[in-house]
Amino acid sequence: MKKIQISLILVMITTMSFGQNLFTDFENMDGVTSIVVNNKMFSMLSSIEINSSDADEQQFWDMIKNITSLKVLTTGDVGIANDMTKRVKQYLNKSNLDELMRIKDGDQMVSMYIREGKDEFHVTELLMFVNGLKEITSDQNISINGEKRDIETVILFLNGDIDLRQISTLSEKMDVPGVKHFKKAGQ
Amino acid sequence: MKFSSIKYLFLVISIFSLGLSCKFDQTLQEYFVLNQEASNFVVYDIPMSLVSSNNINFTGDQKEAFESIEKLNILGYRLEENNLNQFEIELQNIHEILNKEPFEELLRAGNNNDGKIILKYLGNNDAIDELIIFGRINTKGFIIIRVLGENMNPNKVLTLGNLINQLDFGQVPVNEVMEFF
Repeated sequence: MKKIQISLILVMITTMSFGQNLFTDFENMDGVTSIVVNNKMFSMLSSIEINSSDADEQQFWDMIKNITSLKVLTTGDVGIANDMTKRVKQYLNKSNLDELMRIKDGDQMVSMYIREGKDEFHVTELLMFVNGLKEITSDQNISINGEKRDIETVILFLNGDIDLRQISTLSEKMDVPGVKHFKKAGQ
Repeated sequence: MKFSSIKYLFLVISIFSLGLSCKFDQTLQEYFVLNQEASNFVVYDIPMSLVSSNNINFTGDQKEAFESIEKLNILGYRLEENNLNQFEIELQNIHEILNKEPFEELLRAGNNNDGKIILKYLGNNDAIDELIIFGRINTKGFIIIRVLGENMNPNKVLTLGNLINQLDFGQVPVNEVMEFF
């Protein structure tokens, strides 16, 4: 029994660190924009809004508090995007994440993978991979520092105790391309 | 910004004694002191008692937060045509300090082409002693803002963010500083 436990822990550690590598390998690459928000930030944000009288809002902020980390990678470079696709595939093969959904629409591909948590509505890890965004973002005038940017690929990692039913609310508050697909995950 | 030598000596002594009491903070503090008179650096040390808040209607939380802040320590590095190498070296030094000390990271974001922002803090869950905002714009330079206080409530301090434009900082060209963001 103990052996199983130990090997389980080992597997968890290796898969966790692999996701970490996937992120850090791309984070400081030229042409990649990244965002990392840690647990502490979420708990601070959630306690600012905690006075909310709306029960739905309250639930949402309670969920936010349980997010341990949010990491986002985006790139407009097709070469890097291909690299990312490869690495995500490798990661998915090794990490035993379950596919939650996959949407393909023309060149655009959105897929979401989860690791189930305490019940069917809760997940401990969520990975969203969006590819082929250029078509949409080229019309959208996304600009950083006054320069127009194209976004081809977005990878989003979410860790913590996440209620899928609250995810759609999160997507409304975040301005990351592709996140609107979260709505479907909550249904 | 020029210090008279006595003032300077006093500053060094007080910083030294501060450094003894909170060892962790020493190196970032040292970096500030070391560079305050170096070329291309700008340093502002703003005690909150000098910041006028007369025209502001604080909420209870904001007032409490405002009063818990003791001072702002700001160090900026202006990028010019001839100091790119030095800029890179200074960036490395800063990152070494920020990564080594037991600062806890709140968030980081950005990219290599435009710039980056990092938010860190020092303290425990309910009371932070220092909030550090590091920002870098590749075409302009970098800036470090240290928000220093005692037992600042992190949630309340964050509510101050949208009040910054209304505060009267007197002689300090805050707008110039804020341009970094």
